[in-house]
Amino acid sequence: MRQYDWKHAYGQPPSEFHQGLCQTLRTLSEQELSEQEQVSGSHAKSLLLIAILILALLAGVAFAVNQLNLLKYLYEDQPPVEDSSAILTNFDTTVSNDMLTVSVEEALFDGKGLILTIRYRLNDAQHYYFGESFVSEGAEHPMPNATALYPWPPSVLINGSEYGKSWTWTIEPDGSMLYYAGVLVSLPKGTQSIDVTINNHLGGELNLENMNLVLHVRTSLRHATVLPVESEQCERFAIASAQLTLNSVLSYLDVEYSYQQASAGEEMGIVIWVYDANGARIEEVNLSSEICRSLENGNFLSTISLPYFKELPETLYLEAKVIGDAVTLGRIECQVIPWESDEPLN
Amino acid sequence: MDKQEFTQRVLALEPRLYRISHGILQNTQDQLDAVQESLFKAWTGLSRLRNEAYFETWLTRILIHECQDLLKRRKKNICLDLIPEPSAPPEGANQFLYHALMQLPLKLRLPLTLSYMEGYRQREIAHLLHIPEGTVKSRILKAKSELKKLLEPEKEG
Repeated sequence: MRQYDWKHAYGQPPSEFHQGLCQTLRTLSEQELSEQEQVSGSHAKSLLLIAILILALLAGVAFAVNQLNLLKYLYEDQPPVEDSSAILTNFDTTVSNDMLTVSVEEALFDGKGLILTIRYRLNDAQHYYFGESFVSEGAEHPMPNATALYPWPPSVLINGSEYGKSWTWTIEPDGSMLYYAGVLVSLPKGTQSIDVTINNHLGGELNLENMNLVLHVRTSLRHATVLPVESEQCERFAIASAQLTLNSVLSYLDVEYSYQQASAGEEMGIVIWVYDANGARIEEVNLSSEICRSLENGNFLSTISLPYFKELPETLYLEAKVIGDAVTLGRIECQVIPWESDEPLN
Repeated sequence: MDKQEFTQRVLALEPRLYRISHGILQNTQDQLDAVQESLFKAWTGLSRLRNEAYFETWLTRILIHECQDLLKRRKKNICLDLIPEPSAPPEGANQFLYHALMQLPLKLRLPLTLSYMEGYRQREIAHLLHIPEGTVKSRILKAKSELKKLLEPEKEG
């Protein structure tokens, strides 16, 4: 086995890999990240764009539940939502070139999270199809005399900054590609609107103009204090404060906590899992990676996106787990106390 | 760790980042996406890394998670019957070895990649992949056995 040159089994990094890596590092370096905020460019693409800005307007059009692709992205199966039309924004904004027509279809912005669905439709579906776009093991749709196109994923900027995002795509039965992007944002309290830029640098002849949107908060949020039961503190993990924020589609849990790292290992820190009163884990929704940042007081602040709660739970359990290890620092029982006004309990 | 040191340490890791991402994802754009997202997470999460001596392993683990996550998201949308053949070997690759490795299932290929290409010990691989050390050992043995069979034609030729 060892007669092979294992280090070169996959060859050398191709030049585009090296260039992409360098571009990413440059992008990171251009960001003001000394405070370790979750704001940066994750998908660095060269910005050779035709710089024509398309202003998109919001149109608050209610639509049937079976049209809510955005909710499929969050929940995959049956969304646990009764009426979400008030929170979602429907668009008819498009840009196009010879190859593609791009439409922003749906958006959700509530001041804490942003979810978008963007549809890419081929103008000449007889001769082109979306091949293994975005992916290594993507779907092929073998068609004689047709050419596969391989677009890069678009990037989404919020108020000029690119955030870490979760994204995926599907090839729809009509051959169009539906792209989903979800972002947890960290904005000043009271932010009511954001500027969103969709960078349609999809590669070569697929490049399109940027799309600029203005999104306003379209929903009021409910809040609840998540209060640890005092006797349940863990040895190296303690909750300083926690707050649940809910809209009609999903929820967010903000947890400020202190954590003492073990003397060895645990170099990646911890992650918080949430359980209901029966001990069943409440899986995070497919929105974005958990945001975690360090605070000036030495604590950490994590934001976790959770499913919609039809009824506010009375009890939640927060469990601190060491990332990468099967080590649990402890599970803390918390009471969930709804706010009666817009101010937190003290 | 400042930006300059971060950049230098990442650039020094470039071959490893490439090999590991290539071991999981065979498309260069996908590899780049996973690496870019990993760098972003590492940079914004540096405050969580208490001991900078672990930076390389830490970034490696983030990358593995990111690649697996990307793969998982893709598979949700993919009809397995339509998965194409692995792409052509990259420039400079040993063609026989490359094709043989690509025929191994990921759960065998990844421990082997980490062991033979990156020099990780089985205990470290267990830590990186969140699987028991015994499982790492058995998977590497199985991978070697499978690989040996796949490489036999080359020897005979």
